[in-house]
Amino acid sequence: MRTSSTMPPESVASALPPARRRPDLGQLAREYGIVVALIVIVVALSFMNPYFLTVRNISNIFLQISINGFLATGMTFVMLAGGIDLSVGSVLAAGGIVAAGLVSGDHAYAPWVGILAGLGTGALLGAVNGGLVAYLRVPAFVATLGMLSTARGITEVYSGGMPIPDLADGFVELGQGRLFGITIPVWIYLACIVVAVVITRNTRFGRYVYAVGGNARSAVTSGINTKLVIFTTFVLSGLLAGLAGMILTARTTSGLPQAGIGYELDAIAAVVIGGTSLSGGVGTMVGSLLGALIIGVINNGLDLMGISSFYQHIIKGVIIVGAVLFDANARREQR
Amino acid sequence: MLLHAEGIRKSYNGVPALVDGRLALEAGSIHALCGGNGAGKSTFLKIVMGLVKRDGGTLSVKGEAVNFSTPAQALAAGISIITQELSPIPAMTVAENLWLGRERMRGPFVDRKRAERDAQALFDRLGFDIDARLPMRALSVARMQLVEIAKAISYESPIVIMDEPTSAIGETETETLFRAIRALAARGTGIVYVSHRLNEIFQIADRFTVFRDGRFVETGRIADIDRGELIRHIVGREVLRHRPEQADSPVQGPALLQVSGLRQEPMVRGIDLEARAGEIVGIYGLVGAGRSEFLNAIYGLTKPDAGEVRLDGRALPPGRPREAIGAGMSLVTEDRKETGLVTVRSVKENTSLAALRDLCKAGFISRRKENALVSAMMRRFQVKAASPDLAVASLSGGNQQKVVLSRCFSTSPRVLLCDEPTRGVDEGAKMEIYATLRAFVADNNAAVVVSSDLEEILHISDRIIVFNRGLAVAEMPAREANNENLLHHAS
Repeated sequence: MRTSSTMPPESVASALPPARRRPDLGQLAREYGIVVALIVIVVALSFMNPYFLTVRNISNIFLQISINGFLATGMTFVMLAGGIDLSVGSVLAAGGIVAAGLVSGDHAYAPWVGILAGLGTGALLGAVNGGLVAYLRVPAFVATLGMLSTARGITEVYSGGMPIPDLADGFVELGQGRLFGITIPVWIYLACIVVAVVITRNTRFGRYVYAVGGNARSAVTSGINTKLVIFTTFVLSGLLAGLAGMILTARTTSGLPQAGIGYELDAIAAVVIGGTSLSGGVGTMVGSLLGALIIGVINNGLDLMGISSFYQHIIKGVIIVGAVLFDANARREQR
Repeated sequence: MLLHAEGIRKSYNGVPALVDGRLALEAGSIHALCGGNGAGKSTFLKIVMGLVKRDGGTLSVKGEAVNFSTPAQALAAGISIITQELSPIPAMTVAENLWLGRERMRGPFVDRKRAERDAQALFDRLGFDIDARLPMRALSVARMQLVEIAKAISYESPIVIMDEPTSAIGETETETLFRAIRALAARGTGIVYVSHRLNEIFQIADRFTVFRDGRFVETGRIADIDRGELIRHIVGREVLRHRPEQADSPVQGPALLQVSGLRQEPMVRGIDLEARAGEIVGIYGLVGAGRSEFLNAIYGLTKPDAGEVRLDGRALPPGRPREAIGAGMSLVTEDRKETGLVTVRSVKENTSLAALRDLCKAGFISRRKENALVSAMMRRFQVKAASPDLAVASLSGGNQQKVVLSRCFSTSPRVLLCDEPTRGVDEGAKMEIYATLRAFVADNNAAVVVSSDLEEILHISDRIIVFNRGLAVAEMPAREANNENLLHHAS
């Protein structure tokens, strides 16, 4: 690295002005607003229902959000790079049903075969999305809308439209087993979040994802293979959708061809509530985790209060738009 | 007095951007507003045009105190603005763009014929050679800029503010523009003219106001001041315009960059070029001469139809920027917002982006190495940012350009390609950038600099090549070059 100074010496002396930043409320609200919102919701719900803050219910919430959490994690990669993946719900179903088919009945394969096949199915469908978007320049919205339908069709063809029950015990363990009292899906989700945080924050690939989403032309000039980066984000999204599909299958002890319908909406909502920009380049994995938590907590709380799912849809919609509005306002304050 | 501003103040997040902004604009005057990076010009203009609210100070238009909170209010009060950034809608026609929001109507319907007729009449009056019926995307950037200018003029506002109106246009368009500006002033319009090109200021303006470090410094008549004095006001210290380092005789070092028969129709039609170690090669040409396309093809941003690029004797694979960087090439792109920077990301991430490969172990970024690189680059280029974690978008234009240079230098290049390296940068920063380039080639490296600024080309190059319509039509040592012969070959 050639870092020797080539500037005239007197100009180096004046170097940088001292960092001077006063914390202001707009900035704080923007960075921690979502945490505050989560705390407010939790406190409010715990007053309304004493059962809400029990260990049992909290672990239940984490189990409920883990499926959406996987999808949101993959979606975050895609959206940070400036894309969108509408197919995750269908890819989830495809991954789940393929795994279920392999581990059910009398001639069941070993659970790991099913798991690999489920992950592989997700990754493969994600690769088709990625190939279409990155290399054939199909807009992400269109490519993944096509996959939304295609993957659902594959699932239905593979299963004949019927559930696949009677799964091997080892496979079911994936969704129902416990370790230190916490269910396996929650462990896998936490591990997945940790890995995703490390990838986005500490790896070259993570940095490239932000750069491609922030300004693809600038990324190209910096020698980044933007197509490969975009392709990879879709593969990751597919892979995680496949994982979510298997875990859902294991939890419900049967492969359901209708699984995951509409799940892409919750995943996108979690990512957006978490502060990721729809145009890419801005956002964090922890934000998406918090976004998924907010949605999960609200669903759970409204369930506990016995509010009909019809109203839940309305409330969720208002919260999604409200979160983005709040974020946009905070951003304007800042400039 | 058309526009009067005094004691205008504005701080962002507690950091003052403008401490004392003053301006007095008379009817019929062309008033140059000068200042370097961070002088507060942009903030001042944003306040005048209603984009930003001031913290204090008085602003009046025709003697009446005003307080704009939207650009629409400023426009209604008689202030129209031409900004540096173009905002055309490419799919619409020129006429539709021009009358956007003020559509010519016949009853409930848009009157396309009249819109085109009115637009054409406006262009004819201004002397702009533009067909109002063409879709905007068919126009060159220079022509789009002229449309933007015509649009600002079409409001018939008594006050027109022009922020770097010539940054995207060539010499001939500039002449056309200046004629239009003079005609406007003759009709009593007051014009605030912002430009880093001092030649233009002396050519067109009759008064000047200088800001420095957020404060008003000086105002007066252009006739009473000379170039050196104005520069002194702008930078606050004497800047010498000498060229001591330029080669007396041709640079004899080994050829680092060899380009032969590069062709990319229709913009680049077979060009050879050689840059030797220790040499800065300047490329001059009018807008549309194929200069940027030439650099982009060398670097691999685009794949040329034919031709070969060798770096230090080794042929580079065409269309592969990664390989070019790896071989020791770096490109400072023309437009820092469009192709240069990831403006939503931090100074740090932008600086290290191209060099990440060298800062990683098994794909993981070494924080220590990255921070060391970034702070070294920020010191070397004097990037003024409160923190390396600030988004690049919050920096001034000159500082953004320094971040672009930081990134290009962070990969330890041997050949640097610079496309308009000082566009929108103030005099002080320009000199620093020139010094950096000179020191870079002195280290046995080579640089190729494209610029449409004659003065810059003459100042910085050892050897100058003139492009004209995709061909290299002339080559000469910088010592033998002057404004006249360069322009002669270019046009």
